[in-house]
Amino acid sequence: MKPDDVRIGVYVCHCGLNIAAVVDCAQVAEASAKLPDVVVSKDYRYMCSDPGQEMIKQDIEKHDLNRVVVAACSPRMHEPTFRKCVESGGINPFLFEMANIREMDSWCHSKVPEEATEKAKDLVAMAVAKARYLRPLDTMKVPVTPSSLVIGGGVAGIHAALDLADMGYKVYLVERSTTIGGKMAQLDKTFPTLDCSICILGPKMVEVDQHPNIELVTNAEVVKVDGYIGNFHVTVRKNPRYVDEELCNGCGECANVCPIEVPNTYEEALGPRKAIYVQFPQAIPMRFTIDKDACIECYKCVDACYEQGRNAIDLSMTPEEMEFDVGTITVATGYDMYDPSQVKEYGYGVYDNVVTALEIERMVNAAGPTFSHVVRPSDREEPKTVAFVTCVGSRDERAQIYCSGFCCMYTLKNAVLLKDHFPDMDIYIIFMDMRTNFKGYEEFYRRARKMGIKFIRGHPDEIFEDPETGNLILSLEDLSAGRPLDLEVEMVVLSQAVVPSKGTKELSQILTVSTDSSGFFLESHPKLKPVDAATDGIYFAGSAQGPKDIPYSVAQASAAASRSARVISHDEWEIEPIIAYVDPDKCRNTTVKCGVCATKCPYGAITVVEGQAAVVTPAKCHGCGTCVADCPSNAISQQHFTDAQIISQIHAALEKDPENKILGFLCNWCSYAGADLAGISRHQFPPNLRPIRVMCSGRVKREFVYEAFLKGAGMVMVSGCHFADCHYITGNYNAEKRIKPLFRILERAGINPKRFRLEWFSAAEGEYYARITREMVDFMGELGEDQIRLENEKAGPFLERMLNRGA
Amino acid sequence: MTSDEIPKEIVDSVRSRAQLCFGCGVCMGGCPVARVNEKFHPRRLIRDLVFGSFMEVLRGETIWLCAQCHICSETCPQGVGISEIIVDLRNLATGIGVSPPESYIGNLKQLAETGRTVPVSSRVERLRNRLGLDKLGPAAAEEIRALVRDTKFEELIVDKEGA
Repeated sequence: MKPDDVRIGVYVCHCGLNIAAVVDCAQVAEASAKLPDVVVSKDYRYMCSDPGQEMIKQDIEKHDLNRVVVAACSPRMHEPTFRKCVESGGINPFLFEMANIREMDSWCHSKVPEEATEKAKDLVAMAVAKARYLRPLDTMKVPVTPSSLVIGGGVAGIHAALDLADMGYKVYLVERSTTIGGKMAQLDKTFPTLDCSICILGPKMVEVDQHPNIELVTNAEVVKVDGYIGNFHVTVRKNPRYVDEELCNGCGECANVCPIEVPNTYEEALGPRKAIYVQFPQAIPMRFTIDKDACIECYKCVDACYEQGRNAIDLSMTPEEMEFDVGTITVATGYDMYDPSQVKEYGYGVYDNVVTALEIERMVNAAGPTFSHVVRPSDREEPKTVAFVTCVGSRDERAQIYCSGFCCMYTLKNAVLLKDHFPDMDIYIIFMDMRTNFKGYEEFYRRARKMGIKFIRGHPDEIFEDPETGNLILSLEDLSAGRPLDLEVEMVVLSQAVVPSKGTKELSQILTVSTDSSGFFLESHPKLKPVDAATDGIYFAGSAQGPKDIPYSVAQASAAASRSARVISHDEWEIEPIIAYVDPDKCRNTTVKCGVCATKCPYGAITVVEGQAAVVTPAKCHGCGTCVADCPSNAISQQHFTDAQIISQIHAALEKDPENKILGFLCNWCSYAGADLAGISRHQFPPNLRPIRVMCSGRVKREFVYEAFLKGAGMVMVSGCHFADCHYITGNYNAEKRIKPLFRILERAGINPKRFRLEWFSAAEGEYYARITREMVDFMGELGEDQIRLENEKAGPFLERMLNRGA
Repeated sequence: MTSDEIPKEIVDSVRSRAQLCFGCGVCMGGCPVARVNEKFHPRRLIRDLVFGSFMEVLRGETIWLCAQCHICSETCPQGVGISEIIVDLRNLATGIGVSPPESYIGNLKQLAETGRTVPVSSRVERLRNRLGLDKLGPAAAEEIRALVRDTKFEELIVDKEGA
C-alpha cells in the first residue's frame, strides 16, 4: 500500500557536463514536476557538492518533503552520500531513491541526446514511482568479531597480518604452502635498490612467527566461509605434514638420512630436495614436511628423529579441519608465473637453453642450486651471450592481453645482476616497450644502459636452436633500424607474464566475490575502493587483485589492513535492513506443510516449524529476496524491494511507447554493475532498455514478467551473475529454475520467446551488456511494433489469468 | 573507378584492424619475403594504412609481394591479421582496376591458363617422389579460368599486356 500524504522532491544532477552535455536536465526536471506527489523538482550542476546537498536539506524543511529522488550517477556510487544527506535533513535514509541517468544513460547514449533525455524522464518517473511506496526502515546493527583472516602468506599477506596484529587484533594467517614467504622468498635481489630479497623479507617472516596476536596456519587451505561483515565463520583444512609441528625443531637429521631425491620446486626444479624437506633455510615455520607422493616409507627419518629424542614424525597423520570466527578477511593469494611453453614459438621446454626469469633468479642466487653460477642447461657452461625477452605471454592475444606490469623491471634487474657478476658477458634485452614508471625505476634503466647492456627494440617472431652448438637464433626486427635481424645467443631468458594464482577461481566461489576478465580478483571500484571486494568486509592485497611489484603490494597490504581495522575497531557494524519478512497471516505453513522458503534460503535464515508461520532471523538474512519470489502464498516480502515498489517501477517504465522498450531486471552485484561498466567504458548502444535494480536475480517473480508484457513491453530481460558467482550463493540457480520455464509459457501465450531473455553476465562484462542490448533492439526492429502489439494483445487474457492466479 | 568510390566502411574496417598494431615488429622478424626483398616491409605496410595514403598503398607494389605464408598472422601478438588484410587490399585494388605489377603478371597468366602459378617441372616431380609425396594431378584449370573470366580479372592481365 502506498502511504498517504507523500511529498517528493526530485533533483536532476548535471554532473558538470557528464550528464548535461547529453541529457537536457532542465527538461527532465520540468517533466518530473508533473509526476504524482512531486512537490518540487530542480536541476543543478553538482548534486553531490555541498551546495547541492544543502539545497536538498533546505527543501526538505521548506516544502515539508518526506521522499527524495536524485537523478545522477549510479546508486552504487553515491547512494550512501544522499542517504546521509536526507537523514541529516530529517528524513529516514530509506525514503531516498536514485535514478541512474549517467552510467546508464548519458554515458552510453551520448550520440542520441533526445532519446537519452526521454530515457532520463522515464528513469526519474520509475524512481518517483518507487519512492511513493518507500517505507522508513531502521538500520540493523550486528556485533563484530574483533579478529581478521588473512589468506596467503606472501609479502602482501605478511604485511597485512603484521599491521592488524600490531593494532592489537587477533589475526589468522592461512598459507597453502609449507612456509610463508611467497614468491619474494624465491628472489635473489629486489629492484631498483638491489637489496637481498630474503634479507629484508626474513625478519618480517620471523616477526609473524613470534607475534602474540598472529595464529599462523601453514600447509592449509580455506575451504568454507559463511556469514557476513563482522561475522564470518571460516573453515580451514590443514593438510598433514606427517611431522608434528609441536615436536619438530627443524634440526634436519631426517632429511640427512632420507634416500629419496625429487626436483625442488622452490629452486624451479633446477636442484633436488629430499622427500622430507623444508623449502629453504629461512622457512617459517621451520618444520619439516614429508612429500607423500615421493616417500617410500623406509622409516629412516623416523629412526633419525627418535635418535634426536624428538619422535616428531607420524606417517598416519590425516587432514584436520579447524573453524574460527573473524570480522574481516584479506585475500592476498598472489600470482603464478605463466608457463611459456604454451606459446610454441619461444621454444621453452623444447630447447634446453631457453630458460625462465625465475630459473635465472635461482641460478644467480648465492644459495641457489648453482651457487650463483649461471650455466646453460645443455652443457653446464657459462654462456658468453644471453638475450632476455620481455612480454612473454603478456600483451599477447594468444596468452594474456594485459601488461604484467613489473616484468620490465625484473628483466632489468636480472640483466644488471648478470652483468655485475660476469662483466664480459654480452647481454641483450629484447623489448617492445620499456615500462619504468615509479620511483627510482627509470634511473635503474639508465644504469643498465651505462653498464653496457644492449637494448634492442623488437620482439622475436620465433626462437630456433642450432642443434650443433645448442645456441639460439632469434628472428626479429630491429625496430630502431627498421630491418630484420637474426640474433644468435648462447642462452635465452624469457620474462614470463604474471597470471592469477592457482585456485583463485575456487576461492572466489568460496568467498562469493568476483574475478575480472583476466581472472584476478575484482575490486569494488577501480578508483575509490581499490582494495575492497564488492562483498563488505572482504579486502584484497597484492597481486591477487592484479600484477603488482613489492612496494605496491606492501602499500596495498597496509591499505587492506586499515580497511579491515575500520570495521573490527567497532563493537557493532551497521548493515542495510533490506531483509525479508513473513506476514504470519498469509503464510500457508499454518494450515498445510510448506517450508519452500527455508529450502530456498542459502543462509539458513528461515525457521519453519510445522503448523506455525515461517520466521526470518534478521541477522542471518542477507536480503537476496529469493524466498520472496518463491513463496507460493505471497506471504514474504523484502524490505526496500517490495512487490508494490517493483510493480510501480514496471508501470512507470512502460507508460509511454512500451512496444519499443526493453524492461530489464538487473542484479545489484554483477549485471547492474556490468551495465554500469558499459557506461563507464562509454560503449554506445540504443537507449531502449529500462533497468530495474534488484539485489539478486533470485528476487524476480514470474509475475513481474507477465506484468511487463501485459503493459505492452517490447522485450523483457532477467539477468544475474554467472553461476557459481552469485553473491547469495544460489540465488541465480533458483532464478533460473523459476524463470526458464517462462520461455515455453510465453510461447504458449503467443509471445515470441525471443522477446524474453535470461542473461548471466559479470561486473566486468560491460561490453557484453552493450552487445546484447543492441541485439535485442535489432530483434525488436525485425519484429516490428505492430507484431509486438498484436502478440501482446493476444496474450493479454492469458497474462491476466496468470497474474490473478498468483495473487 | 576512383579512390572516392571505395566505401568508407571498407576503408574503416581495414584501418580498424591495422590500428591494433603496437609496432613490435614480430611480423617483420618472421617474414620470409622481407629477408630477400627489402621492398617488402609488413610493419611499414600496416603503418602506412593507418597514417599514410590508403590509395597509395592500394596502387603500390608491396601488397603483391606477400607470399601469403600467414606466419605474421600466426605470431602477431595483437591479432592484426596482416596477411588477411593484404588479401583484402588485393581484392580492393583489383576491384578498382589496379593491375598487379608487371613482375606478377607472368604468374597470373600462368594461373589463368594452367591453374597453377608455378609450372610443375620434372625437377619438382623428382623431388616429390624422393620425399614420398603423391604425384601432382591436373589442376582445376577450367574452373580457375571461369573464375578469372567472371571476376573480370582477365581484363586486368590482358590490359597490362596491351598497354
